[in-house]
Amino acid sequence: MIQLKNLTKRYDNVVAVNDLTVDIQPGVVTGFLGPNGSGKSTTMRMILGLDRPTSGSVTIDGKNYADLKFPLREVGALIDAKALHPGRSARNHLLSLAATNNIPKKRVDEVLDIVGLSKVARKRAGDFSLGMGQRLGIAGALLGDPQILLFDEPVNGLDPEGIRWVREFFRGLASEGRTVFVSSHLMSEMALTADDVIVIGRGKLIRQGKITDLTESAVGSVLVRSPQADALGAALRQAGFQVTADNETSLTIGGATSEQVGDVAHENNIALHELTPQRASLEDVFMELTADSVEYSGSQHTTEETK
Amino acid sequence: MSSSISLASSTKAEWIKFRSLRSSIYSLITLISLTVGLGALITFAIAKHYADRGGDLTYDPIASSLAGLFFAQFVVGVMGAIVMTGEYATTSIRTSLAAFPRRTEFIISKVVVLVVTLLIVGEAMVFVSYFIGHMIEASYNVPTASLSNAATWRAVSFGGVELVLLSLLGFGLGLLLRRTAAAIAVFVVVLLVAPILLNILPSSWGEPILRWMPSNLSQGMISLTRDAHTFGPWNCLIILALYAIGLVSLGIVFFNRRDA
Repeated sequence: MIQLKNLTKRYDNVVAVNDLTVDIQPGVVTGFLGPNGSGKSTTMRMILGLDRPTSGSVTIDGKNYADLKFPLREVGALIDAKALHPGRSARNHLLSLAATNNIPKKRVDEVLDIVGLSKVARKRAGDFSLGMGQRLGIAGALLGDPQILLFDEPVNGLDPEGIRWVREFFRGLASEGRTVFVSSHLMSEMALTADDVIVIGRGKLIRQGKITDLTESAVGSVLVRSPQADALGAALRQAGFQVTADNETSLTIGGATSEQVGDVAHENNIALHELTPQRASLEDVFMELTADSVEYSGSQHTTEETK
Repeated sequence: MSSSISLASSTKAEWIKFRSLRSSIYSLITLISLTVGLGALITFAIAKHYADRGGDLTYDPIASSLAGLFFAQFVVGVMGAIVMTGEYATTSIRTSLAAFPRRTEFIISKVVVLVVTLLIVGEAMVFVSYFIGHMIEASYNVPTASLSNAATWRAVSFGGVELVLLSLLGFGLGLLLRRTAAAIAVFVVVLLVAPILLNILPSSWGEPILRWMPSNLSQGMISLTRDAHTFGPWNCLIILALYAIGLVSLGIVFFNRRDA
């Protein structure tokens, strides 16, 4: 289990990670979500002992990363697919990593096989495509057969087949009881991969929980069509719902269930042609949750000036 | 098998990293051809000139045989710097430290690989340079220096040590500055530019400082002759070694405190 306690990282005057306290559990895929620049990578680097927290702590099964006996056998990480020397072959890159943790040579060939890079193992890693680089990074993470795995934006640059492979691969690792912690800025990707999610914005924890709870907690709306839309709208407003007229015959009712809308229509003797509950998508929920914390956003999306 | 990661496991990894890069091999080839090739060429030119003039000049047989070391200094400085700056330039430092988070041992293992490689290659090539120079000198009937003479033996064998110490200065600069260009620039300024500037100064100012400069110390290590303002060869070695150890130690202190 990875435990972050009041984890904070400050660079000069910028707070990259702000008082983050979460436990990352084994046996599930935990998605780490946030817009670009929200502090995901900084958090990952602090877990790996690369960056020193300004305050607070990170522990791996109760220990500091630097105190792990064989780090690669306990924690495997893909932090940046390009974090290797481009002049070295994939195999030599993995051989040098294996040597640091006394991992046998044959494991190098095993992981190359797992990620499907056996045929290009002797090619310079610098000539790899981004997708092949990601696979090599994943191979490096698997080298020590660790119980805890961290992946920072692993699907970047993968083709659809690769994305699907990674998704199933992560689920497989979690089902073996491992801790799988995956960051992404794409909610749609996490919806298909993660069981739990941790959402951060501007370094602060926004939400933590089961991914299914996230959608259920979102307030839905109801789309209703009626020849007497005006009258229905007035009645619903009177009942205390938010009503938005989409056009002359159709309304969107916020904060209401379809039962409530149907009952109001019945009480007022108004005919309905359509009554459809609108479930907020995960994407919508994510946008809503992080709307205030997007570091850089297109002007059409928000009028709020950031910094 | 040990029960945790160790200096030995990291050194093994660093050796794999060193030998699996073509640039390491090219650097060594450059180093050897500069030292041996230029040494032979310069010895040939000077010996011929000396013979043509009928021997009315002073001739230092070691200085010409080992003349290539002057250029080799810059090659080893760059090699040392790149060991660290290459990790930063490619950001592979993060992968390296995630695998091996004990930072002081990580640096020491890099130093071990650099020192052992350059000591073996360096010693081999200074002796080869010496023998080639000796052959050329003998064929022109110019003065030669014999290895049976303790001073000659010392001057030649210090050639490899000199290169190791200068590579550590480059390594220390790379560790502190983290950028290849910055580390090389400082190395060249200290080794080449600063002595020239100090020579322009009135000698009463420049000379007391000049003897402490790495360029003079490294030259002092391999000279048979000694002028009044330089330290003796052993003192030169000790002072240069202290610079190297001091700079690398300072680098380690910063390396342990900085974010990777």
